[in-house]
Amino acid sequence: MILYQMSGDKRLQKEKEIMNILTVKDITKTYTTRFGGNRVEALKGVSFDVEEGEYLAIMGESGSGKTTLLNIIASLDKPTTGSIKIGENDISKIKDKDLAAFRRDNLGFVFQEFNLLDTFSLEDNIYLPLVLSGCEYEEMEKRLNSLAKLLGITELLKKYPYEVSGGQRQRAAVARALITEPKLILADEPTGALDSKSTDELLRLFGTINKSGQTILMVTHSVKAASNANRVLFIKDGVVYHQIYRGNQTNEQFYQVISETLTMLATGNGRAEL
Amino acid sequence: MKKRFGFSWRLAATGIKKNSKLYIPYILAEIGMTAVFYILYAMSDIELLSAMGGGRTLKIVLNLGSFVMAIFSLGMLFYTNTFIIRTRIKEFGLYNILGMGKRNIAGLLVAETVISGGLSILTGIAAGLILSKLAEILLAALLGVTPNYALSIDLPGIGMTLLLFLIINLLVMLKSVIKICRLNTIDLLKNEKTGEKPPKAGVLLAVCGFIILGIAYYMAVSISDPLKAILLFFVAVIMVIVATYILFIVGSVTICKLLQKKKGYYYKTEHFVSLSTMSFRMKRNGAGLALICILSTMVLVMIASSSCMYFGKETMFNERYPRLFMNEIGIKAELDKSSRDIIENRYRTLCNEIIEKNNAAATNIMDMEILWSTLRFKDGEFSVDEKIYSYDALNDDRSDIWDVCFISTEDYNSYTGENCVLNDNEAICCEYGDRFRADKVRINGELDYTIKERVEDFYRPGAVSSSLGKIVVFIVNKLPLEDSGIFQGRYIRWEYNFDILGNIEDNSEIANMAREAGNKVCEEFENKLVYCLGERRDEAVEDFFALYGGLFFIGCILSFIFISALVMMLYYRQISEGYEDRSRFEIMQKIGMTDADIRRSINSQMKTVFYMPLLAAVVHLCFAFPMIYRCLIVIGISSLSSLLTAAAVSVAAFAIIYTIVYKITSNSYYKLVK
Repeated sequence: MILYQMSGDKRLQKEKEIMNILTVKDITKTYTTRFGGNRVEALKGVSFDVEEGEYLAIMGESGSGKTTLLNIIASLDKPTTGSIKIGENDISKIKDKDLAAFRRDNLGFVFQEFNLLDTFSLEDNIYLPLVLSGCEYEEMEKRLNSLAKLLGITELLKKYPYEVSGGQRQRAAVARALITEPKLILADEPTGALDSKSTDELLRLFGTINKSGQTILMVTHSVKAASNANRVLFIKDGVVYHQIYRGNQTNEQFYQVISETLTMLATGNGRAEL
Repeated sequence: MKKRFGFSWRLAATGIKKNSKLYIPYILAEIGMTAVFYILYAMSDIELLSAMGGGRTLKIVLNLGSFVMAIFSLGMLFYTNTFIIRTRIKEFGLYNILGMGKRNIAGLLVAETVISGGLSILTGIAAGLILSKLAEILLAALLGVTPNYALSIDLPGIGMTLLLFLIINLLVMLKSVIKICRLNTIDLLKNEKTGEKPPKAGVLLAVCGFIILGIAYYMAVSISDPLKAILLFFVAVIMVIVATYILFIVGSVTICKLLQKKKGYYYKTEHFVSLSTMSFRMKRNGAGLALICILSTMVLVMIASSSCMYFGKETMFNERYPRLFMNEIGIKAELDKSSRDIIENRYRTLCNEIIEKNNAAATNIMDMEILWSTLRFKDGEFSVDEKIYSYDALNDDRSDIWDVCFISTEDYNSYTGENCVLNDNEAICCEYGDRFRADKVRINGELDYTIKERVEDFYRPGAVSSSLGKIVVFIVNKLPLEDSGIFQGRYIRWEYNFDILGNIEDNSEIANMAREAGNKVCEEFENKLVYCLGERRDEAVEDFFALYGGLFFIGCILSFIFISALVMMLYYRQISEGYEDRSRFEIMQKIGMTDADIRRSINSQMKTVFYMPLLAAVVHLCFAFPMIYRCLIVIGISSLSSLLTAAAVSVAAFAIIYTIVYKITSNSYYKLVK
């Protein structure tokens, strides 16, 4: 069983001066229950890098710590030890009051539950991060026009979230994540609340934007979603248990590899072979 | 079955407990309103009021006040309950999914209403009983009466309060049951997600609103009869309330839409979130603002009029008692001048003897014969109208009723020191409270006068006023005693008022001289006199200030009540909206909204909506002003300048209170969403 596909990785590195968009180093996270009794280690030392233009999927079962990891990367939560670097910035060195602005300018979020605001039309939802950074209306409009075309939501912009389908909402959410031209897109189970047709559409969309150079980090437990990525990281019991690269495989082949890996992880044999 | 019944009670109790942040202010508000309604209703029955000067008027005001309070409670409880149900709809949806039918949920709502309503009504009445007694004792203390400490229970008041609040609770409950029943399970689960549609026919509604407001304003400005004003005031109040609601709802929707179209304005951090949230719940927003506006108006009216009483009482007192000794004798009109002089001279002599004996001196003397009657003025003619004395305040138009006084040039000249000569058909006139705008007047078809001159503030016949406030004094060559049928069988009022110079402190002889003289004259000329009256300013001062203290006190109570309601309302609005907006701000923070952005956005919302109700309330106050003024004339305050000052001071003070309350409540909102 070949689990490593190093050749693909090297092919990517042909483009020189590829820098790391994200560096995660020895992250641990320990939760203490309210009265300090029980300590739960959600993450026990996680390290990995994400290069510019990469499309990384993080897989793991519920409770494996993947959402905790994403929250820490997103600076919504603080690690107990370890450091996160996004671009040149060490997150732990950013002051609390500047964190929100940092997130706004550097990260784009796509959530499972879309998290669109029901008080805004789709258009205004997409504008929100730009408005928060004080962008001019003309500039916002220009950016939205090209994005809306790409995402196929031009007709829907004036509608409110409760007036459109889940797939359409998620596309609007993607537009909101992309409009700030972030260094990194963080997607938390983006297909989790979608039907299979919308899932396909969204994954195709992610593929397209990744090809145009956008770095994506996606947390999922859908094999189908993960099979669209270039690299898949497996987390189990708070550690990076394993990772595989796509290389030259098609989505279908990669899907096979991922599901085999998952089976192996679940039955507990994977580690032994490493 | 029985077991199930118990279950929904238990569920209802935990429901209230779990949502205590919503229910505590709701129940407190209802307790407050129940107590206030009872107090207003029961107070109008207090015997003390009948003892007070303006007691009868005050009774009407209190009765109508309790009526407005009833409407207000209904609106307020509906409004706050809508918030609660809206916030809890997801919870009901969950119950529904878990297998509770709509019927069970309705049962749950009934049980909750019984618990919260029962608790509020009973506590409210108890509080009302204690507070009304407290108010009565305080009032008694102010009036200098021995208070009755026994707890009096006003049974009709309790009955009325029970009935009213049972009905309100029933209506509120029906509304929420209907709302829950009309939604299906899915809707229940995601009810909060849909925005409000703008009201249909907005333009038409706005036009209606302006028309109603216009009529109400016109009524307020044009009605000149104060007794009628008090009754019609409440018609106007209700019209203003309706118009305010319509205009605030339509207006806030229109403004939101317009501002949202202005891209350069809308897409700014501080406006973006607040504006969209406002337009999302525009109807509720408008209704809330309207309620705040109405409450603010009530507060302003109460504070302005009661502080006017407070500030104006000195002036008022000096107007009513311009001299230390205020004596008047009613002499039968059939007596001729020489017979009258005998009586008057006797009185003067009796007083002067005592004054001289005590080495004092009378000064500032006002010695005047006044002939007066209450007449109706129409088309340049003053005429007798029998209905004047048996008026029905609702149906009779009393706006053209005047107290008409005649004073001879002789008395006028000796009082003013002028040397005025008039022909028989000429008159100098001096008007108070209004102008009748005519240069020639005819009186009862018998007397014709050409107004030769108009003078200001010559002498205001203090006690003449039959609470109408409109007085005209004609200075004529000869009192028209024989020339007119009006005065047949009536009397001439001789006023003899003066101050005393000299050391007369604790001198009982001086203090009692007017009374002694009065008694003697009464004995000597018994069948020629109608009445004999002697007042001393230093004796009157206590009674006088007690009376106005009482009125002021009631004004303060009402102001306090309305301010508490306003605080409750503002707090409620912020809390409920805070709960609603919490998840939105959570999302926005994830996307990158900083704390500073949140603060800015909240402040912007405050700026956009904060001044609107206050501004509208001030406009309402301006139009209510003439009406308030006329109502105050009824209780004897006629100083326009003190009312203006009072109004200006109240607006300023209220704006400060309002700002503080708003800051505090918006802080609680901020804490919720942060």
